[in-house]
Amino acid sequence: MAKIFENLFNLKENNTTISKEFIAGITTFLTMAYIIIVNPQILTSGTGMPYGGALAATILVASLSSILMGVFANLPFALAPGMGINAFFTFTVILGFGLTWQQALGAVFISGLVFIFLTIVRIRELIVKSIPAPVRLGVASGIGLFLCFIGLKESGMIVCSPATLVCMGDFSPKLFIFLAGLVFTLILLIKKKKGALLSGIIFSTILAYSAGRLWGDTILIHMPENFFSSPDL
Amino acid sequence: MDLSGAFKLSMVSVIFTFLFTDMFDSISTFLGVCQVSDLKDKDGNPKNMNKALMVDAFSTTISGILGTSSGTTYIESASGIEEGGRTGLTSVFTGLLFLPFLFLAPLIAIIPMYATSPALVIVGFYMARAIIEVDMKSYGSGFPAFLALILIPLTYSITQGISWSIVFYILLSFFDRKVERPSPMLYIIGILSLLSLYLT
Repeated sequence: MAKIFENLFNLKENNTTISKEFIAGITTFLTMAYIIIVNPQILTSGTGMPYGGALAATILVASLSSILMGVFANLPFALAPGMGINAFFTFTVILGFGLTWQQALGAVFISGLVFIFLTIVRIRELIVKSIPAPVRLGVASGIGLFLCFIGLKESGMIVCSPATLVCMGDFSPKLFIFLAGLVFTLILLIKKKKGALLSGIIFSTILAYSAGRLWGDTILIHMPENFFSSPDL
Repeated sequence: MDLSGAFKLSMVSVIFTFLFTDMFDSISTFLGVCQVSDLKDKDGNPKNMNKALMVDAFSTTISGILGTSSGTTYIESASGIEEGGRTGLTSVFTGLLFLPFLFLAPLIAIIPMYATSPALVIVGFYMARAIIEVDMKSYGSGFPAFLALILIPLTYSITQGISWSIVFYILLSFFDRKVERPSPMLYIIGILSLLSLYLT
């Protein structure tokens, strides 16, 4: 088994191990798992798209494309239906331009075919290579701030404000959990512990689950009534 | 999926926007994440780029067939890379972890989004450090990088951030002769960027 992985992914040459890759895989999954809930919600808001179908499609696209990225391109990049483009799909194309959701899906399909064509004739590669170093570095750091911004928003550390667009949010159990998780993860990183980010996610989840049960008076995580739902394919 | 409506003229701008956003989101993700990790080839370009772009294109195509908006490469991949993920085995694990949720979708609510917020903020810090490699004393190279840095979070769009950054890089390169000359391809991208910013 280990041998197959070695041949398929060149683990040694890339200075990594199966367990490292596994921790990395779980961490990426956990940080993007929100798409399973958020994407179907966005796609079905006012468009008439069936929820079950959108859910199954979201999961299948994420799963198949990520596995293919691993096996075919041997890169640690995961894929899923993109945020931003899903809002454009729903609010601009369907609700704004008045297309049916079936037609909008047709447009997605065609853009995929054009993409495959642009990749085969290597135009996309040419585009990547033409982007100058300062723009690349600016984009890398901008994506960094973007990730921070999303994290700060989700934790309630920053909230929208009618007067100043954004401001600091009120102290809430959520914010305390975030801060505790942040400090916990940073300490693990400083001590060079393996799986620091993953441990931080698990630590924060346990804190969130115990809120209202072991401390505080607000239950933050409600256990779902049903764990199972059959896929609507 | 309905292709009949997709061939109308008014659809051209829709398809163009899908293409442009998806393309620049994924290209920026490849460039950005490879920039801060060691996933680069000897010319400093993302490793196995053409294959990666092919998978990305495939993802969009099956999205249309299966019934969701375009699939694209996720910036959250940077968190797995920060944990030491270096090969495709990481994404295979991530992909496999999605599958059980076909049946267990309600279970995902157990991990609240703010529990992953510390990871996002730390990975953000890790990626934002890339800015120290830019010569910020030069307007020609520093200012376009700065625009991408500030506009990506504030417009909430990677594509709009990189578009403005490219447009200003080209403009300033006419006056700041010290920066690397834009290639003909970059001029084309600059024009398409303006068009896309206008359309969205």
